Amino acid sequence: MTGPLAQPGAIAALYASHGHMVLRRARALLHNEAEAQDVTQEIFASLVQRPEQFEGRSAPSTFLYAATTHLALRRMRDRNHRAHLVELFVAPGKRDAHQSAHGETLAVLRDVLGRVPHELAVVATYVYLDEMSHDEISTLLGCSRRTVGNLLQRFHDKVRTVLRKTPARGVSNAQQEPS
Amino acid sequence: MTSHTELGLATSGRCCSDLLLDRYLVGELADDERLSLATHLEGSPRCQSRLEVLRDDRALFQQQPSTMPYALPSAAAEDVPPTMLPSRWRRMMVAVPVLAAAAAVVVSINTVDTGTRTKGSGAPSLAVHVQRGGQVHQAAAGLQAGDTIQFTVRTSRPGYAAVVSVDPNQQASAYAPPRGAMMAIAAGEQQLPFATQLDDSVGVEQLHLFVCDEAHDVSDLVAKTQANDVAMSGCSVTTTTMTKGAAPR
Repeated sequence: MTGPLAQPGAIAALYASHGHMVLRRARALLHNEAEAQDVTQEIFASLVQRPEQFEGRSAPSTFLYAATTHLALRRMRDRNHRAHLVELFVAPGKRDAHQSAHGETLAVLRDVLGRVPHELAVVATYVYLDEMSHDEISTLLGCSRRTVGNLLQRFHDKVRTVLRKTPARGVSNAQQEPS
Repeated sequence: MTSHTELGLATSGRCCSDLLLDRYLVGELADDERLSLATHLEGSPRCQSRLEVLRDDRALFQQQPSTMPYALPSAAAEDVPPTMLPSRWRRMMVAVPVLAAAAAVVVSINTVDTGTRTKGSGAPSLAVHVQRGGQVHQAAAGLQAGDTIQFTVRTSRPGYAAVVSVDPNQQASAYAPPRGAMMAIAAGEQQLPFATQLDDSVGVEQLHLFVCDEAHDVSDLVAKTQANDVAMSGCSVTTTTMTKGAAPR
């Protein structure tokens, strides 16, 4: 076994130093304590079983952020909880920064997030939930900034498409949102 | 030197990302990046406040027993501290030890809505979970100095939450979060990731749960509470009264 986590005690040390950020990130995405703890368990248990998956090419935090995001989003997709992401996107503190995410847009985004490919949901999460820079996202995804921009553009295109196709549905759903 | 932009710092009113602050906290940034961020932090109260929240979160996590409940392959067993639990179904008691224990015995203490609600239907409610000497105790046993308490908030609408205490000496202080901005919460029930150990003052203690439309700084809520003026526009305030006794000698 080789790699940064090959040494005895390395994963336990990583858990002690970085476990908080995995748990916090899982909480932020899932808003469910039990699921967040499960995700944290899975992340570190996976490292125990396959420590070579962390190759040390990025910082441990970067690796763990990406791993937590992927696992949490998969859980949300699997359990049809992606609509919750929308609520996060338009959480009270973010409404000023994302004026478009009101009313029917809220409903449309909910619809879009249920249908976009995983990689678009990941990028949207990094941009709108985490407010990361494109540099940070490119590091997390292991791709260029241009690719990040392209993915984000695809996500926006998807939103526009749904906005054009389903305005009535969006308005109807929006009326059910709390003021 | 690496610029703020290259570090991913806010350039249009946006704060530093949590990832950047996390990497700063755990010492992963290169010297020039760390210096650049430190300079930025000096001029950004918002980033400073967020950094403190993350630092507290990390400290709380590290104070808990190291328990990673998972069946482990024998080849990796030596990597796991002896305090880690053996099977996955036992949940990790990392940042929420009180509630993890409360999974067996749920304790709710005298949660009373005092009706200061100003908006929305259904007042938010606060459940208090108590851990004493490693055990969870029933509410009938009351609170004691030295108890560790943690909160679960129930609310019908998303917003921001904070719990402010007025101790028997009439001193107001923030329990959750201990400082910085109020916590974003979704509609429904969720626990706040902050545990508080009660000090040795005894008597009646009030807990005010604030659920607001905007993320006020908790220091403002403490100041209002200290002035006995908890009514705030856009906020619901639910008050819980507890009696705290001395710890047995």
